Amino acid sequence: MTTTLTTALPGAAAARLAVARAALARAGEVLAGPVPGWRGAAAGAAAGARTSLRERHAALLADVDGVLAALGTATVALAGGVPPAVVDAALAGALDGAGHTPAGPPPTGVTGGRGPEPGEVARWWAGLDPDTRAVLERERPALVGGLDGLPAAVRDRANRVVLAGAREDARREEQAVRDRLVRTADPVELASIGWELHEVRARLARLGAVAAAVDAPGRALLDLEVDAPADGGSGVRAAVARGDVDAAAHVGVFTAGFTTGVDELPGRLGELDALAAAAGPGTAAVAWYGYDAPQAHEVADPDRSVLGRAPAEEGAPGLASFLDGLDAARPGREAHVTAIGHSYGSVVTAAALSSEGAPGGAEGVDDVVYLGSPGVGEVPGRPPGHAWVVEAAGDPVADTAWFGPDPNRMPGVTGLSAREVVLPDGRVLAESRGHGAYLTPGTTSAANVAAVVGGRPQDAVLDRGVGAGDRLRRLVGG
Amino acid sequence: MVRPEELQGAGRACVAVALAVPVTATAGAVRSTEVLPGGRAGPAAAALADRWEVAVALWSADVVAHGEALAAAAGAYSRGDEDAAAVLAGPGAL
Repeated sequence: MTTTLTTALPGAAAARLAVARAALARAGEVLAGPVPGWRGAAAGAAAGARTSLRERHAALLADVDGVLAALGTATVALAGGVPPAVVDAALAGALDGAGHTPAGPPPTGVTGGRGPEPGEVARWWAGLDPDTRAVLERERPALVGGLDGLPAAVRDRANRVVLAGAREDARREEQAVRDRLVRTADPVELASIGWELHEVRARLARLGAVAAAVDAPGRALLDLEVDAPADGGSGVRAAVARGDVDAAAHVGVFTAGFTTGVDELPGRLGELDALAAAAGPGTAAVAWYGYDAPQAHEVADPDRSVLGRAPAEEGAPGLASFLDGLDAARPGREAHVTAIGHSYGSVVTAAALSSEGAPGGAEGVDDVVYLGSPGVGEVPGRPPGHAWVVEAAGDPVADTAWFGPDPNRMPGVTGLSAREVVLPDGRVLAESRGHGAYLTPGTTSAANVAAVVGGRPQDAVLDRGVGAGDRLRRLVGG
Repeated sequence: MVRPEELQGAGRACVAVALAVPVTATAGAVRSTEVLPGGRAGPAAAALADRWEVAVALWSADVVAHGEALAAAAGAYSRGDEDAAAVLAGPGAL
């Protein structure tokens, strides 16, 4: 802990402590009263958490009051001629007895959404003593791991702790469900328990995929959210980096689309390894799977369908916060950040860059690349020269213009080639075909994305990629 | 009747206040207290300052988490998710 060289007599300490107490007391006022605007059963957990925080606050103030009294007594005693050695011993006893109020368990972790403003988080963290940071990291890993704006290394350590705990919990839960299964003969109960087993095993598999993704040198687990069993049971969201996002000159952040999940993280990281290597030295890349991507079985659900914006609008604030956190964690030496959205992930990315959503879109993104995009709304999210699109031949999704004009035909968006290209040195970059091969190493598409991510757009091969689908749309007036 | 906008406002207020808490002020006020050089009160004050700094930091961090949970629940209600209590339970249930 920090130690100042100047000592203070008890009277001076009491005066300073009284001021600090007043500030702490004011902070507690935010918890006064019940949770506003919330009634019913769901408010119970919030009320409980609030009560606990109020009690801890009151205990802290009471502790301070006790020390204030001891300091006052010491001051009076010294003024009254009591021997300093006697006063010293009495005050030491009082100080030794203070500050032992238990902190209690953490109320919750950060659960999706935009979260606290990353710049404020970064400033808050910077103002903490290193030892206090270490305590927070140890005692509140879920909170620390989820706060955009904190250093990547800190988040990585915290999230790995959370991951290990989640896997252990899931293993125990699976064992418990299996034990129940073998003791049950009732067919209805068997079906119910069977479903539980399916859910917990799905969660275990997803957590295992995250663990596999971060089990390599240079990987960092920048975010991890695991739904509680009561909230569906198997939802896992994560962001994994390859390279040091706090030191890299260039950072690319990839957001995946329809039917994706953390299951594909290990494979995606392999692609991003190649992308970062092609982008050049000092490049880091992140696979951001921090939202619940729409799934095939959800197509008919208006709140979850890939045909609607709801999943994108739900995921965008979290992506915006994550993107802003990259720069907030390294003030004064910001990286060149490129957001890359594939398929429905381009809808999420565009929404994250939009300033239409409260409280504003990501501001620290320099370039955006849309891959196989079904549309990104009316504006591309970044100015001309910084908004890019790749459309491969035979990609039906990229021609749908389902979410606004086809980005491939949008003014201000520069097309990057996905065709086969023979480089001046004789090397051949392969064509990407279909919807899923935009980042396949060795393709023109992947090389072009790498050029943009690496801050070398002049090296990219431009091509509108207009194909049969686009021509058909022009003919029919789409 | 749930009013998500009020819930979200309460959550944001918690986060804003908690991030602005002068975490080191209480500890700093007592850290260098001394009655006489080489006495026991000096080390006791430094140790108390360490404990208080951690306690205030943990409390403020937990108020941040509480505020985040309220805001997340408000978002769930806004999207029509009546089971927002699950949002509040969140990863803390791990």
